[in-house]
Amino acid sequence: MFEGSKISSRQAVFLITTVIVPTSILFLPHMIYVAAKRDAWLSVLAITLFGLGVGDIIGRLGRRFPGQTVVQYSRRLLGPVLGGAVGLVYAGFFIYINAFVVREFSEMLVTNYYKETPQVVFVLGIVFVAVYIVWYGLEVLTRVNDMVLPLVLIMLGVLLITSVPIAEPENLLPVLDNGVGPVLQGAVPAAVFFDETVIMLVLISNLTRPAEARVAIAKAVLLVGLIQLLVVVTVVTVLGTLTENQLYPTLHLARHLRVGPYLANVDPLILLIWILGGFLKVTIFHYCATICAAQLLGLSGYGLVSVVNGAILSILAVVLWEDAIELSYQISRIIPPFFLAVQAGIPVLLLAVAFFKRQGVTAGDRN
Amino acid sequence: MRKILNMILRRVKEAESNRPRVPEPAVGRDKAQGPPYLTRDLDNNLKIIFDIAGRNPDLIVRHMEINLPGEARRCALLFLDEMVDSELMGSMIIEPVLKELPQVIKSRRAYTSLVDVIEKNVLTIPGVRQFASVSEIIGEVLRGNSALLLDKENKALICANRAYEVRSVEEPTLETVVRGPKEGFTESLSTNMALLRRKIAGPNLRFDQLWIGKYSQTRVAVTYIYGIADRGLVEEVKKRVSRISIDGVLDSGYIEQLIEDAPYSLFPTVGNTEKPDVVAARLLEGKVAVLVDGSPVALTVPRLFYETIQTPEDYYSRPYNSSVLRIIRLFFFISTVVLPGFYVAVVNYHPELIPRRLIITMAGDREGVPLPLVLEVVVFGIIFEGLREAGVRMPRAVGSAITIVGALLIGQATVDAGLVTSSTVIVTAFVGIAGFITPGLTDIFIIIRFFLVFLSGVLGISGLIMGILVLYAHMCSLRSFGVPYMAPIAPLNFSQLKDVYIRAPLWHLTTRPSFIAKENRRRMKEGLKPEPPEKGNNSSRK
Repeated sequence: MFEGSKISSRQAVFLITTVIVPTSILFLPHMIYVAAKRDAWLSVLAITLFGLGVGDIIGRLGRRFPGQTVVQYSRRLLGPVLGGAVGLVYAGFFIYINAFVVREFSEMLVTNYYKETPQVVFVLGIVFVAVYIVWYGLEVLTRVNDMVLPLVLIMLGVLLITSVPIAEPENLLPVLDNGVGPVLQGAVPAAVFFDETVIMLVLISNLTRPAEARVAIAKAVLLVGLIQLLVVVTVVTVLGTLTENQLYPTLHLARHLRVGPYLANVDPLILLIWILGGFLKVTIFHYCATICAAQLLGLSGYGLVSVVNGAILSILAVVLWEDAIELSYQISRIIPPFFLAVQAGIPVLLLAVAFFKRQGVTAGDRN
Repeated sequence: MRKILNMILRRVKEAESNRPRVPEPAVGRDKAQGPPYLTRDLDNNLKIIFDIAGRNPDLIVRHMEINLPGEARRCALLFLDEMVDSELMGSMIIEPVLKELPQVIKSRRAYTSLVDVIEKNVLTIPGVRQFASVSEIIGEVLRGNSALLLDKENKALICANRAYEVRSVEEPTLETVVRGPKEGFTESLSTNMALLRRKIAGPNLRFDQLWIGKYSQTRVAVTYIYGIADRGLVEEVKKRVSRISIDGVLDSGYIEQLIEDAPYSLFPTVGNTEKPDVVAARLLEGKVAVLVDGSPVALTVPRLFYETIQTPEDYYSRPYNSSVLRIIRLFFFISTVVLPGFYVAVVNYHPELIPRRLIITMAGDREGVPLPLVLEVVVFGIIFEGLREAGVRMPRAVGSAITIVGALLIGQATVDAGLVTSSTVIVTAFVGIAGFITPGLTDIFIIIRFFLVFLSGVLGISGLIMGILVLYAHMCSLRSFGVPYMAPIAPLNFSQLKDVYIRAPLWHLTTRPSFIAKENRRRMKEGLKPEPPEKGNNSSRK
């Protein structure tokens, strides 16, 4: 524990859900559909299973070193040099993935709604909110999330329920027409989203009961899997083959939302709540990046690190990618192996080392 | 260089120590002064007292002589003009001392202290105490009691015959209710304490008295129910209140601003109310109240956000009424803050949200209006706030004139003249009215509103969201006396929500809020849900 804030396992479930849901419902349907076509929902099941596995590893790892973040115990496990490198990788990873998210969101806002506003304004706005909330600490962050996540889920529920009348279940048939290959292929980019449970490598240190971490992560992954399944099924049944041409099919769904003859064109409202979730996702990643960086540098406070991190984040988000196409291409084609290595590979390695070196608290010790 | 500096410093110190000091007043409970005690010489005693209290015209000395066997003992009655009940003084102090004391002394052969005899055998007034400390005697006299000083005695008798003009108990002007008790606090602390006692007669209601204010010597009562209020909370309140060192406390507002947790925040973290029944209800929840003499407004802590949408009537009327009203209050609270920003964002950036026919009218309205929308909303908002302030300050007699000017000229004529759009007028009016639903926060809304309007004008709905997030994060970061401000909404506590957005039936609210009363949580027996008697009984009664 670095910052002193304590969160309950229920709040951890909420945090994980907020990290995964806002972007995954926006980007995943298209990504999966490109590869898996109408079997996209099977891909979701596959990645949920995969996410459960990775989450379990992260949970076990955190349970072994209660009150410590990955930066702290990787040094203990691998020595100062190699462990420090692992810490650096995570600090960098959190900043990089956050730059990704910030850019994704600002890109979506600019291309869809604010065509004349410079993108950098949105980037700075989002990063400012993140820095501001992180300045208050994890406790406030989780409290804000306690309000935001229910709103996001309610909004999503409204969207899904109103889509039911225009859904065509035949779009899902036939099942597994092209075999299992495409299904797994579609699951690969999606796995990146479901392994964002990686935030728990940092946040388990703040849990009031670290022993419940595994259950909490599993609950969160199942919840996210269920939401994702519903979204993908709705998108595919409503849009059918159109899904392939839409970069943000869920947004397209929202545009078609209509409640009787009265309520139409409410997609900015839906977007509104969506952005709320997105902002918090950025904030949570920013918190993790800041804590990792501060611990890596051996600092006792993190206020300044948060501001510097925010500056780096804004620059990266603007500079790294040319446009939305490049962004989408990178996230579905180039990034996944690297991200998976950080999100799943390193934790597995660390757990193995901890196991063989008999480091940390094991189940036997606790009893 | 350093030498010169040191020299200058020494000079300054010397000058400082040589300056004649203004004597500090040594009245009341200021024990640090080391109070001199009374001597056995009446004239000397009076001189000491007048040296400290000054020869004020309202400080009156009534000289008397008591005919004791063998001597005529001089004595003096010291009191403030118009602060004492003179009828009481005549019949219960002066008359007994002058007429009965000689007889009592005659009938007794020996006595140790004349003061004791007067206190125990002579005075018929209920409240009498002996004092020897000059500063305490002066304090009591200045508070409206009268002091009886005797020659050759080094103790004085303080008689409680304080009586001054107080406002009677009336209905409070700010918090009005349709159903429920209508009495409100007055400026007198004693009256207020009695009002609370009448609500909570049990022996556990405690008032811890403090004197705050070097010159004003204001009585402050930290009020709580022993056994319900968290002991740490009571201690914290007392610590914060007694920390205050100030010249005078004229209203509970002074105390509020000196004990609050977040002095820079827009949101108040100390609650206040004018109604004894509200204070009683909050005390029963485990909160602590601070009553201040001279102020009809009591403070209660901790104050949490959800109190904003609560009214005392919520508990007096049936749950459906209260729940519906609470949701309406919450809705209006949110809209008074968010609506102007939302309006600006929608019209500027997301016109597709507006129905098609309406948007044509609105676009036609905007044609030729001089100000950009953001400025229009801000300017009109300020005009509304100005009218409201004028409405509060102006003499009652010109009220109708202002209403006509405000409504007709500023509202109707500006729209007709094409200075503002009518939709802006509607939004401003709605928002202004909605702001009155939460009386304590009305004044801060304008700041939040314009902050959000500005962000919406720049970044549309996403700017609005940024503003709301920043605001909400700030609210979540607040604490009031250790309790998170947004509890139980954030951190979310499902079981406590039964008394936040809605008001569950009374028989369901069996426990106190867990974040306030930590130890003693049960407030009602389980299973008090009223049920009709058994069917058989029912029919037999018919």
